[in-house]
Amino acid sequence: MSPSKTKPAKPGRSLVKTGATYRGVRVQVTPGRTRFTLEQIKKAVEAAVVKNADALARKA
Amino acid sequence: MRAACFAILACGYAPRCALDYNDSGVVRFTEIVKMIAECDLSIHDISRVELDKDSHLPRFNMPLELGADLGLRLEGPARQRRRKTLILDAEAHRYDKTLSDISGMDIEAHGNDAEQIIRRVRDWLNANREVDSQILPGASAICDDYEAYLEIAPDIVAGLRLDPHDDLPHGDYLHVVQIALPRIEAARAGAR
Repeated sequence: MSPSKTKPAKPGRSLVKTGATYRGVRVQVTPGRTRFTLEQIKKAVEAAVVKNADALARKA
Repeated sequence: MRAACFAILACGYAPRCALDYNDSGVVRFTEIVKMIAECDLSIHDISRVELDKDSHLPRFNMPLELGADLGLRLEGPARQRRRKTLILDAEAHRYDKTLSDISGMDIEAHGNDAEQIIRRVRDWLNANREVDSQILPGASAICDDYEAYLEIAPDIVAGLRLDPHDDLPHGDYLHVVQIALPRIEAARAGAR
């Protein structure tokens, strides 16, 4: 495993933010190389969440 | 690595690592040191000490990067001396044999278990969060959500027309988790 370096979220940094929060925390990533567009990723995630809605609900 | 990145993202931090770079025009180590210096917090997992199945040699990149980090902390400028470092290994005190120069430091063992990795990372980030900032999501909640993520991951991967989850490139994985976390929370909250 390569090391992960982390930095706290700070306003003004060039971070990609979803606008949504997870358990009260703003989730963000530093822009980097990706194979897929954000739109493709969003579509795949949303479809998977909808498809597995029952399973996710059972885990709640 | 993936469990650690999941925990880092769930705690509101942006993970950065050597996989961020693929520019052959730069010396990789130079970029890694620059990245370490830009961050106030760093996590090093020195657990992968097994021999490479092809070369039958161990890989030394992680201890090298840990050394660069500790060097900055010991002899770098003032800001670097305040940096915080988490060192992870699979077994407690194994580093006494593999990396004895760091004996006496507090190293967390994770037993190569994703839940333990998430707990170690989350607890350490929570202990080192900015003063007056809110407590980070609990380790149990993040572990549950990681399990939920793994359940939907095959469909995400299939949606991107990849084969196994391991085929998901690192940069894409970070974005997948970034987008999935709020949606997993919402799907689970809606069921309550």
